[in-house]
Amino acid sequence: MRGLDLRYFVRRIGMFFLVIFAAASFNFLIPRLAPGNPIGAINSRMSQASAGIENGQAMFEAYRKRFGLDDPIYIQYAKYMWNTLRFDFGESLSAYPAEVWEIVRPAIGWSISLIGVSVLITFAMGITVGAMLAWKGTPKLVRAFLPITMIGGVLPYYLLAMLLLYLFAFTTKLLPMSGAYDSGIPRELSGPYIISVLRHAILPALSIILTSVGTWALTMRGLIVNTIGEDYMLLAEAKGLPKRRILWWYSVRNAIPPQLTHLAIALGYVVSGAILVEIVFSYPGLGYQLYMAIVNSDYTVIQGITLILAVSVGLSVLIIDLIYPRLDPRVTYVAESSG
Amino acid sequence: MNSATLPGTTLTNLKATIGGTFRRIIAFFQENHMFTFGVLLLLALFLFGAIGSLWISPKKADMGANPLNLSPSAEYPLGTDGLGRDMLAVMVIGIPNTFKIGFLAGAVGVLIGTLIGLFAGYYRGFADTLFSSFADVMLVIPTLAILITISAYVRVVTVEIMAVIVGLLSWPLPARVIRSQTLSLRERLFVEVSRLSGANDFEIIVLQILPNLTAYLAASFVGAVSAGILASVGLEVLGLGPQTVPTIGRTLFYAFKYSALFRGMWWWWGPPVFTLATIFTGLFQMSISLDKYANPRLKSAGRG
Amino acid sequence: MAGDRSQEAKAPVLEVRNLRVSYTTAAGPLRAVNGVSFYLWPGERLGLVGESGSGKTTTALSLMRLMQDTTVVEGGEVLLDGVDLLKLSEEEMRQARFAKISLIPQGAMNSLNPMMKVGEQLRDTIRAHQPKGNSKATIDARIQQVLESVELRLNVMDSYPHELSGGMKQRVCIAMSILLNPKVIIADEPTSALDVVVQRQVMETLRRVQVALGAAVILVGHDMGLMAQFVDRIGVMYGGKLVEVGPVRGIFKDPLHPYTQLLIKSLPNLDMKDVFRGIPGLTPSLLTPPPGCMFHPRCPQVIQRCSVDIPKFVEIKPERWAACHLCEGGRQ
Repeated sequence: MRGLDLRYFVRRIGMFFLVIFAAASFNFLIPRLAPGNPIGAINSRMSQASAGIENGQAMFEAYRKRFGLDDPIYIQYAKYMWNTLRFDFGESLSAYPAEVWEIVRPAIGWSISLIGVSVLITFAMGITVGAMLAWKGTPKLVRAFLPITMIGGVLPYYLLAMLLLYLFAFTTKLLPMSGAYDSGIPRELSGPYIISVLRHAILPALSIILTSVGTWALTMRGLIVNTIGEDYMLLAEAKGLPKRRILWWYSVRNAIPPQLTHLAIALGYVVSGAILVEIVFSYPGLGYQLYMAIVNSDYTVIQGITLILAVSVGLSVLIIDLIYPRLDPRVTYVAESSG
Repeated sequence: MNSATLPGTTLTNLKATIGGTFRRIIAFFQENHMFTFGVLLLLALFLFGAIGSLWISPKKADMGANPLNLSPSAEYPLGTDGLGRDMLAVMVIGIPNTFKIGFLAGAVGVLIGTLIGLFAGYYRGFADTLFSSFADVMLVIPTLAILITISAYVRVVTVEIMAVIVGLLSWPLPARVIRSQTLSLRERLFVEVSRLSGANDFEIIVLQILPNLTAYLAASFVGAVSAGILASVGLEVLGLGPQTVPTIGRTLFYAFKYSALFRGMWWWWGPPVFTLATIFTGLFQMSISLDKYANPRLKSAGRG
Repeated sequence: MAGDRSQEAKAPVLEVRNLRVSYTTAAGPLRAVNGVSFYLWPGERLGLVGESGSGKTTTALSLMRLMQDTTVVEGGEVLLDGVDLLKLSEEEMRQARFAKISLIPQGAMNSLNPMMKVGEQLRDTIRAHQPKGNSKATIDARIQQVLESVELRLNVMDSYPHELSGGMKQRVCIAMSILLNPKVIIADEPTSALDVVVQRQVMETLRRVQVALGAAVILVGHDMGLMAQFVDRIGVMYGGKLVEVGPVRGIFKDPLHPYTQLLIKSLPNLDMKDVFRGIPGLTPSLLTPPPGCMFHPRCPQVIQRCSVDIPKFVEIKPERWAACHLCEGGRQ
């Protein structure tokens, strides 16, 4: 059994590095494959611009050195990969000589807390609503309200974000319109600061939660309905277990592992959506930094952020994969039978 | 064995399958009100664009062609934006462009996905391992991140290039669905029979397997169109889409950029939001009913 | 064996009277169980045989009121120790399950929750029926007792179902079924997924624990050979009705109903060790049942009356019940 476990882990971890490798390679190749030689264009644009700004020439040299633009392509690739592995994304083009990593680092925290908390809430809500949809014993009054959770499901995150912003921040002024905290409050672990952070997070988080909870609930309902036909459900009922016990421990419990797989697949979409939500709320996470970088044509920052996004999604999927065997005791067995 | 009769037989089979498929599609429309409703929503928007373009000069969608910041009136039913564009004209031109990107991207994605899925599922072995791992990797990388990188470098994008770029990245999901179905179909009796009667791989794939994938292909296509529009509008909102023609997403980009929301210019951000909501509602209705069709276990909750 | 014990003094532990169950289908109601009546003595083993679709499993599950959404009990009584189970409230019925009447399910391989350790699945059975005061130690002591009685090692409690063999899983199900000392155990084709050797062992175990407990067993199945070895009496079902009930020996020596006769004849040899192979003709459609006797379209001895009158299920000779016009005629 231990050997099988090891094989499972090795495969998942290998997958994670494959994701990073692929994402990094995309990042390297795209500028070089893009029509019109964008690297050359940037080069000439920068050398023109560098004449006009302070440190311009130094920045241009640093850029050329970083990409090793005079080396053959495979050396460029190797250098690039090596730098990437050390989280060295070079210097920002628009805020030279600031390092990309320095610009990006504070944004990671904001994004991870926003997305992480929203996804956890969505997951819990999706399971609960899905279970209530599937369960015959749900009171009619509760059941009547469940479809409300589906309404947001058809919209992209940022559309709902705009509507929420308009309703709760612009029109009624109940919640702040932008940012992650009030700039007037010192950034330390104090009551007012925490409340301010929470108030700023409510609308962005709601945009993510409300748009995804419906789909989660629907897949969960489907998975639970699938368990209803299983033999163990008949025995559970025959044993005289209370209905609630059957619902949560036999139906929902068995539907969660496949739902977790759905989560792993959907995470990329969630992150893509969250990028745009951050832009709507000017929330200082990775998405907003990315937007600013695009507006400023800051290519090194764009590359750094897209890579970090890929790595964090890959890492989250890896974590899900590693918890999975704990939740589904059959996984090692499955690995054995599928080779 | 008389080999000359065999292609004829398979051809008749194919005709029967296509006839059957057609009848099933008609029946499907009659049974699935949600699907029909979704199609009607999209059709209504499409007609709005098509008929509108007969009446409204595209010039009115140019910057500075009209007075700025007008709220809706008889002359400008949807008002004008902060750049002096007639919002009605912008929508009339933008909606077909958005559809075009979505459908093209969906078609490219499903085409590539189907080819890869069929190939990997039918031949299995090394090719399958390779494609499946690649598809898995692609599924994990946030597509929008790659798209952003591409679009950031390929700044001058036309509607068509945009669609192809988005489509090239949306094949993994269809490929996965088609692959798993092909894997199970290739073991079925009728495929075995046709293999024994001398059909080659191409004939088996095209005549036996493909007709049985109709429901999945339709579901994948709707999903891919949905994802295509979602991704392209997302890029446009970031200011990365086609620069020269109005699209729904680009309209939102300007609305963000010039703070339409904070200036209370609801007629600026309202129409694109409403249009997108309608498009996604329509596609959602369609995909939900197709899901049921492809996954009949959802329908009945009975004990097997 | 047990056939000649004196039963007059005792009352039956279970008595089923005119049970009628139907499925709601798109094409209309489908009468799956159509007026079934039988009784079961304490400690007795009764076999219910029939082709698939004869209503034997539906009958068995209806006794515990385990039904799909689409199933309706249309009428009848299920008297367990004189209490009509069909009249109990949902909660009372839940309490009665496994405490008074338990089930060994058909799909042994998939009947245990794959996500839960076996011990936990045994514990929750007890906890669902007993006040919370019971300590884990008391509960586990009882579980260890039943596991030993089905010859399982105690470490299966810490195993997940997929770590056990098919035979072991079925033993867990047997252990579970006796956990609360029920009066009646329903065994629904308990060995259908197992190979022959394991089948015999499991049936032996079932017989031993049943005798030790003094519980009555209803064995549902289609393996006449297994029935002959295991049960005291056999009930033959056809088209949702019981067509014949009698002691094993009598049924095999002198079957009364033409369907039973064909069933016995179709057994390949006298050892009666094989599954029966079926009888010419189609099973009747329960949506549009034939008039008169359900079996008359396939019956080799059909007479005029069979397509008009529904034969009554009556005691032809002592202990021998049948529903056939020929037998009635023979008696008169």
